[in-house]
Amino acid sequence: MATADTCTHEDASLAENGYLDDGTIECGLHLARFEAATGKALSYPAEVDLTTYAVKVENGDVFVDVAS
Amino acid sequence: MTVDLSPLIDVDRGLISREVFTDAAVYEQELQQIFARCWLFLCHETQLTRPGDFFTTYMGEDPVIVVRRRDGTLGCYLNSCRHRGMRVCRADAGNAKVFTCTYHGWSYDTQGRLKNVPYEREAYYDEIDKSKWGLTEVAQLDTYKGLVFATWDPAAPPFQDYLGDFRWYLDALVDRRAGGTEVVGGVQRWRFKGNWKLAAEQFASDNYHAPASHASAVAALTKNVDKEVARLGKNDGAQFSSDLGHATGFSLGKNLEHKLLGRGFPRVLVDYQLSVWDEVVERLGEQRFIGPATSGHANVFPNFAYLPGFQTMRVWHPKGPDEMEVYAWVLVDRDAPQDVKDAQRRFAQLTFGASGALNRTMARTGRRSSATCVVPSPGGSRSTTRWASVTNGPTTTAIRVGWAGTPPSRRPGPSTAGTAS
Repeated sequence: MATADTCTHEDASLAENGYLDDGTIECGLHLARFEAATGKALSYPAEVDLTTYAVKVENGDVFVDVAS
Repeated sequence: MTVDLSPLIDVDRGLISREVFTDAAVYEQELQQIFARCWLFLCHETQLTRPGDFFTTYMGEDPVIVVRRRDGTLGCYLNSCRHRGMRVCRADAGNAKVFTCTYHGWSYDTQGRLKNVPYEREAYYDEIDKSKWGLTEVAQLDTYKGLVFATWDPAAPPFQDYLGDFRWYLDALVDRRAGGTEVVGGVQRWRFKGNWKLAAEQFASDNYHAPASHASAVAALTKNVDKEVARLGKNDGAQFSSDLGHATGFSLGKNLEHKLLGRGFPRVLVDYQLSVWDEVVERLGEQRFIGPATSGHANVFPNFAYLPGFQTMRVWHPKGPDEMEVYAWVLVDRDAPQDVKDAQRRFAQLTFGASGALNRTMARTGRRSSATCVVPSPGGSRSTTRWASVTNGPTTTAIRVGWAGTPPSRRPGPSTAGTAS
């Protein structure tokens, strides 16, 4: 499972500004929270879920299906 | 408007009007001419080891954030949102990737750059140039053997030039052992009544107060009460006063062990000093080890102070003409064993912590000292009085142990009496 990197609240990279803790992604800007496994928006100010992408692992390489 | 300080300071006679400790206009001038221009102590590098580690403090009365940036360098910014001026960081210390103002949500990264403006399209029609609205950064920042300093003045001399000859004494605090220093425990903060200069000048030059102010505390800390209290006033020592405003004094007793025990140092700390004798003497020389590396007082102009041996290190943050807030750290040799670091931390709190035995006597005296600078006017409201007044005399600085020379022609520090503009 992979999620989009941009917060659905404001234009900010979650990898750069956020935290992944206990399966929850939290944006460092305005504290929007998402469930990492499903992309589901968990708390205000996030009202829209993160887009999720299918992932597969082949010979140790991780592939993300961005068209999914 | 500029306050003419020349009527308030008589260098030839060593007299200072008490008004310099109470007058609001003098205080405002200090904020502009001293705190906006001088190199000011921020924190110790070991407080900020990982990217994103930050510490909030003050430069003069201005709140600032000191932060370890992603590239490993340190940044220092005014803790004030460029939008409506609120603080963008309200914690004392921590780790952050961004600083977000809680008023409207503007976010800044650790480089101080404005990263995000909520509702940028709706509120600003996408016309705000975010590159122009970063946090206000200090003009210069430098570290010296672990100590972090900054200035708002782009024209200020480099830090080591600002320090000048005083570096020789500061090295006795921060360059004792190969591993340098670190701070242990947290930062203690407390406020007390009194003008910031009362504390600064005491740490710069006043060991004279110790036998009187600290007699009871020293009696409580030492076993051989009468002898040690009597000895407080009789140690051989030296004073150093720099033309740049920095000053220190320390004792030079020949027997380091007796000197430390006489000040109430616990055995573990005395043994530690003796155990590092060879290493410290090789780095600093014997004179510096038995003098400014293990005893005394010091103030780096304007408001950074420390006590070697006791290892308290503090800043006198000005909070108006009649109040200050102290931020205090405990500094130890990084190479010292853990039990020594623990003992040093406990001893620093016992003596010069917020409720330390020696610290309380100082705070009490500072409050009284400031209070006597203000006399009631006939109308009942508070007013200050100049030293020429009959109601309240000047403060004299001319009484100094061993002082018999010509008074200095210049008042120490960046501003010179009579020429402030």
